[in-house]
Amino acid sequence: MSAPVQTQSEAGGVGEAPSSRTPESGDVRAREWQEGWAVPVDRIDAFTLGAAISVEPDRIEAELAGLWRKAAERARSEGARFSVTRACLWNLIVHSDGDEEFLRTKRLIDEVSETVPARIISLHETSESADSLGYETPDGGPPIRAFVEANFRRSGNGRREVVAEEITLEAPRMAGQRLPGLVRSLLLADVPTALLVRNPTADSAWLPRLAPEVERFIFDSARLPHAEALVQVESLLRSLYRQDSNRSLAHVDIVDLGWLRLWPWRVLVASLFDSPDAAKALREVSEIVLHHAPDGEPAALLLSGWLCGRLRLRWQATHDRRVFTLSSTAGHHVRLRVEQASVQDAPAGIERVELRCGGHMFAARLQGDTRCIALSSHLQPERVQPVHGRPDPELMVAAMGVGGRDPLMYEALRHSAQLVRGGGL
Amino acid sequence: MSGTELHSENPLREGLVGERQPEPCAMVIFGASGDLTKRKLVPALYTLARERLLPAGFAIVGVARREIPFVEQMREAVNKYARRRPVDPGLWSTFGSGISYVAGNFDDPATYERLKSHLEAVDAARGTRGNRVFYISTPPESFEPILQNLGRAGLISRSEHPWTRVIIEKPFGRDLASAEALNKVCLNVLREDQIYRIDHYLGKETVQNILVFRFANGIFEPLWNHKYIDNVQLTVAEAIGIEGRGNYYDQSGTLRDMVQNHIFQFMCLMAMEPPVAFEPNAVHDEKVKVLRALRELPSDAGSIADWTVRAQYGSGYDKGQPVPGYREETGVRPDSRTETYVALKLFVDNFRWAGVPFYVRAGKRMAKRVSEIAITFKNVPHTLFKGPSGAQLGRDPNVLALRIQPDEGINLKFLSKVPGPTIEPRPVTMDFRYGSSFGTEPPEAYERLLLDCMLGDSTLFTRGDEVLESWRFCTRMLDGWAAADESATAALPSYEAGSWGPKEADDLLSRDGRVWRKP
Repeated sequence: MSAPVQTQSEAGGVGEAPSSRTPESGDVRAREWQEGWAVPVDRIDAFTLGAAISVEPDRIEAELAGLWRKAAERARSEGARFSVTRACLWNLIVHSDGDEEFLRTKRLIDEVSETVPARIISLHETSESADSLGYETPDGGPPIRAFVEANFRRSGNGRREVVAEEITLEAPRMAGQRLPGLVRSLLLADVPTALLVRNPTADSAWLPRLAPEVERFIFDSARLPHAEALVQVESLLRSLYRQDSNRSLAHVDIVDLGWLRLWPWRVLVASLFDSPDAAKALREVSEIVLHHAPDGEPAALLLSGWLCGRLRLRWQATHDRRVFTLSSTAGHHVRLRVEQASVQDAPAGIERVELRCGGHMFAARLQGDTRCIALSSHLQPERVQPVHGRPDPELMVAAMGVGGRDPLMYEALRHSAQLVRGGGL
Repeated sequence: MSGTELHSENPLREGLVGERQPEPCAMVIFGASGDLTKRKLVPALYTLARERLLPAGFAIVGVARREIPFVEQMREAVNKYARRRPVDPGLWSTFGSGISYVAGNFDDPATYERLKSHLEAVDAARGTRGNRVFYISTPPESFEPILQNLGRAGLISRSEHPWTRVIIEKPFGRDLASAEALNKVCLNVLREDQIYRIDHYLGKETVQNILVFRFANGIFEPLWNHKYIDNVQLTVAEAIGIEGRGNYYDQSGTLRDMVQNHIFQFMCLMAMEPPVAFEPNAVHDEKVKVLRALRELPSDAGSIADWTVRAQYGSGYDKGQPVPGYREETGVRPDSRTETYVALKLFVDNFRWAGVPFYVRAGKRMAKRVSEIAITFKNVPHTLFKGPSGAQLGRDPNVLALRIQPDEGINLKFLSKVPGPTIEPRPVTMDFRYGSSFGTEPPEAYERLLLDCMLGDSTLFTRGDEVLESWRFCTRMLDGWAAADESATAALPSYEAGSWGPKEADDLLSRDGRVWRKP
């Protein structure tokens, strides 16, 4: 559960006690010297407490097998403190670029593994050069460092249940091409594989080689550096996964955590048009306006893409940067504006969605600085609905469940990329 | 499903598969001043609103005899009992504005005239379009006058648009005759598909999961029959006593309170054949077949004890505190023969279950609160493994336990070799815990059931013929007990509060060479 720690490699040897949580900050390579390691523990204790243990990359499976076996033996003799049950529902490959993202990602997967037991393979690309690490490998290439650790959860009575394992592969970015082969050898058979890459547009050597091996590709459009990256993501996904006749990506589930965050907005906007009269009015939509927080432009464009896809609207022209003319299948024009609002914090980055239909306004608007959305139209009394954002670990769990499979996400992404690009669906 | 979900014309709803939102409607709660309304119904409706599962046009109308500050009380109740607390002021502004109250006697026609005018005003203000759910959460003696008065006042529509549905709380009768009479009253004013007889256990995720477990997995159903299963044990144990409800409980007893409804429903889900579709009538049809296949118990005083055990709890300790025996509880007759514990041995006489005993037990003041279904599989036909003394090893049968509450989940016990130079089989378990394997909190049973009713889906409710069949079986048992009581002078067997039941219940199984599980 914590960041990796170098301990003595002999079972039963004395190292230092790990902190029980991922460190908040600092150089992760200096973790063996951090505070909180006051009590001497041996290698098996370190494993069952969730500390990372350095292993040779070609000895990962053997080391894990030994650690699990000895941990189970110790659990039998000291059963009151913890239990050991090795479980795995997924292979989850998680990529992080740089130390800061690595720490953030570790905190995420610590929490995810409490709910979904998985073999987590954490790929940590560092920015350091091979020389600076002071290693030399037989083939002269930069080194890969490996760590293994156990993930656990607390049962109702506070007892630790050691349930799953995490393998960290750390390599300088320039050694990224060496990772896919090692990762493939570590994937467990008979369970699906998910790959989480927060920002798939970053230049990486390993992604194109590893992505085709997975059943679920998870990214986060809200973490993209700018809205134009939606085009890159859409293009990348198309290049990684072939399309079927419905122009959806075959053989792999694509999950966008940003799309999952938009779920409440989609439901609330949809609920404005549930009555037959409202549904009829929707056919006469003439203007759509979305307001977003400063960092919410990708989300606003993705939500626009959803509306375009559902309402069969196609891009016709781009005027100002985020003002578009769309055309409906019936041939009438719809104006779409995506604007930045002054609000700093908004659920999923969206502040307001308005649709003008047949001269009437249907709106979902954030109320002041609350987390409540007011829904209004001429057809029903105004109602207020709180929108509580789901934390990232919960979104990840959803992404690994059936809720992650949503063909509409790819449709929305294609339409949003078309808006940014200016045509060319 | 009868399909009253919204949005068939709304293209934005496409793909929002997780959302099931009913048509606008008003829910009228009779018995609105009662505990169930405060603790369960309104908090459940509030949570549905919070989860965006209520329609834009929705209203709650409470009806009870006394004048009470209903809206304020409901806000307090939501603050205290809702799954998501405290009340969100923004949401309450919408939700609370839809709550109103009508005071009146249930047997006074004027009450229903006032209610009718009130509902018309609600339709105009809230857009509820004449759709109604009437929730009858009153003592059973009020069921009939409420239904008749609703009919007479023209408050029940037999049409599809607007629609009317009626939820009826348990107990639905206290024996076959009274259940038949109540059913007749219901059917005089309603179609069967408008009647929602609620058993809140069916709203529990783990009970619904019995169907998923059986019919969505390929490996269990081939084993789910008399060839592989030795016996089934159904347990609904409560640690609490009668909690000050002596007057009610002494007229009811465990058979009526727990067995006729909750336990028989578990048993039906556990034993039924696969329905042709996951659709209300297909599921109800299969459940009724199980109840019809129950082997009739003898109703004579002499034989009934071979199949059933009744008992009352004596004094004892609950969490270390002394507690009185049943006959010492307030409201209980000192010579009461009402059972607080029941154990039964039942058979489902059909091809699948021929010869497999279903052992049922339910009781109050038992060792702990637990509800589970435990399926014990037959042993291997021949044991290969022997200990140093020649004793056979590995005779522990496989047990699959479906835990309904608490610690909801499933565990499977099987034998595994102890590591070492000898072959020593030892039982180990594989556990699935519902609470920790999914990232979302399961909804309260009432949330699911109220939503289903508004959507017109009665799969998780009880159909009339199910209720009558279960009463038919239980009434015969009650008759047998009454006959035994006429000739009996001694008290019922007693068990220590905080125990697993009386010795007679152990004897019921030991005669078959079996023992109760300790869940």
